[in-house]
Amino acid sequence: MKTKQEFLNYYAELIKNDNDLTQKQKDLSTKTSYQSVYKFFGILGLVGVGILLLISLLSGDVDVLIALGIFVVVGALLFFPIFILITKAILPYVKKQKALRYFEEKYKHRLVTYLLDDKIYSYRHEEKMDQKVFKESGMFGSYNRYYGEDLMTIVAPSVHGDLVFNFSDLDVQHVTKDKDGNDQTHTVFRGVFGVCYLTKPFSFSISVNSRINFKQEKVNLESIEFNKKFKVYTDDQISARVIFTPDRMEKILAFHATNSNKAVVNVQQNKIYFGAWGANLFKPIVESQSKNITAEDFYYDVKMLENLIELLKQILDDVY
Amino acid sequence: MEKSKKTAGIALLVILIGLMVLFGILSLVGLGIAFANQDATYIALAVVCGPLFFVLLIFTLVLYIGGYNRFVTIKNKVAESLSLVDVHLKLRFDLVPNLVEVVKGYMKHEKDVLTTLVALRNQALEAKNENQKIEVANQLVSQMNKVFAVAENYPDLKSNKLFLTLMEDLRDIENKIAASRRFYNANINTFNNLVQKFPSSLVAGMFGYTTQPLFQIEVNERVLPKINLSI
Repeated sequence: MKTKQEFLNYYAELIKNDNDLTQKQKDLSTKTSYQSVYKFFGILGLVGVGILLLISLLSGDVDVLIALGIFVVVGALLFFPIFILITKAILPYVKKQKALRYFEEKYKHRLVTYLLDDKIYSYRHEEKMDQKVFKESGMFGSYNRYYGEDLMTIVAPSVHGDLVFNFSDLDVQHVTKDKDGNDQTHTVFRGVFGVCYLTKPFSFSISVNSRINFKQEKVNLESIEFNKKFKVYTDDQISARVIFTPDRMEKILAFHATNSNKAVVNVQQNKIYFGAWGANLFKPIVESQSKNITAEDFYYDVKMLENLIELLKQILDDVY
Repeated sequence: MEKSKKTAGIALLVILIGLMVLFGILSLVGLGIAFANQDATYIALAVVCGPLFFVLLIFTLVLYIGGYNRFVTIKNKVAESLSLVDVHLKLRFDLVPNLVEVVKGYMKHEKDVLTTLVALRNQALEAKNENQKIEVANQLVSQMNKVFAVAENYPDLKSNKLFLTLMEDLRDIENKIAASRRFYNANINTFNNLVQKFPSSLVAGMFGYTTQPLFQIEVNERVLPKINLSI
């Protein structure tokens, strides 16, 4: 994988002459003033009220005057909050979404393939992990909404043959109705989900932070810190301890220290399924005053992926 | 120390049974008189003593019967994990004839090393008790390491496919021996914690359960073949 400085230089070069991107980034960072608009509508409102007041006074009808007063108050109470909501929340949100989409369509694919060109087999921003694979993992409950993006396939050569990894961002939900008929949304999984296809199957099942079936028993390992962060279940206590040696537990803890998303893992025969809660592959680079997602953040997201693959390769090389 | 724990366990059981009998009798008497006389005092007595009897009954059952069953379960797990260590040690012994068969064609001048290896393997299989098993296993490991050290002088042997496969198998078995010992130690830890912690220590004392030693690994106990997969 390219170094951080190489990536930053590449990114800077890529966006150097992109005025559209520069403008969109600027739009996000400056706070648009709507004072003139407030003034205009304020004056218009006052003039309108003045005209209507004059008409009602000339007609001499008090009821008309009262109705007019109510109309003005209700109108002001309704109109101004809506106007403020649009200017303070909706318009900035729309601007940000435009900037994100622009980045995703124009740069994301190029940056990802630049960083991982020697490993990447395919990358499709708009596609997600196959639902069948997600169901087969057995790590999550039932769901009825399935969204995702950033499907990527990476092939990593190892001593025992090529390892194939598929990753994608997923947002999986289960929507039910409460007694009043309103929708209740429960998150089944949101984060990065992946599967690794092994060259040789395991003869036992092992899972982390997710007990798959009643045959699995908890593994009490020597490291108290490891046991706190990772609950390991297996149907073969010996083989689980062959994988989780004291050295390996230290490596996994060190990896977790830099990537603290809660992980779930399940090993079944020749597949390793894993999910990192809350993780998000390739967050678009959007540099604004409110929330900086910089080119460095993008680099570290991809680096995390590479580190994960390396860690799995080391474990499999030793275990096989 | 063990005797005092046993005494304390029995004493507590006697006290609990005594209290159960007392509350049981009081609640029955209270109920009886309350039905006859409708006296509020006896009704209160029955209402207080009845639940206390059941609470003490459940507490005693959980502590003694539940505690005893936990000890039986963990004791069986310890025995199972010890037998797994034996299983993997035996797998190591079973490799020896194959190893000798492969290397003897190459190491014609190292007959003594190989003869000793075979003899130790036979001794290990005939060992009568745990101490003997461990002692012979240690000697076997030292002898196997000698074979591998000598094999370094025979490049043809090191590139032999059968030899390489044997080394892979041996590495796998060594990992499993280490893992099975860790499993045994984890079960022993659980057992020892039960023996030492209150209130299960009272049950341990009553039934004579004492803390057990962990498996200590000697420095030279691991067979460390050098596997060169690039050949």
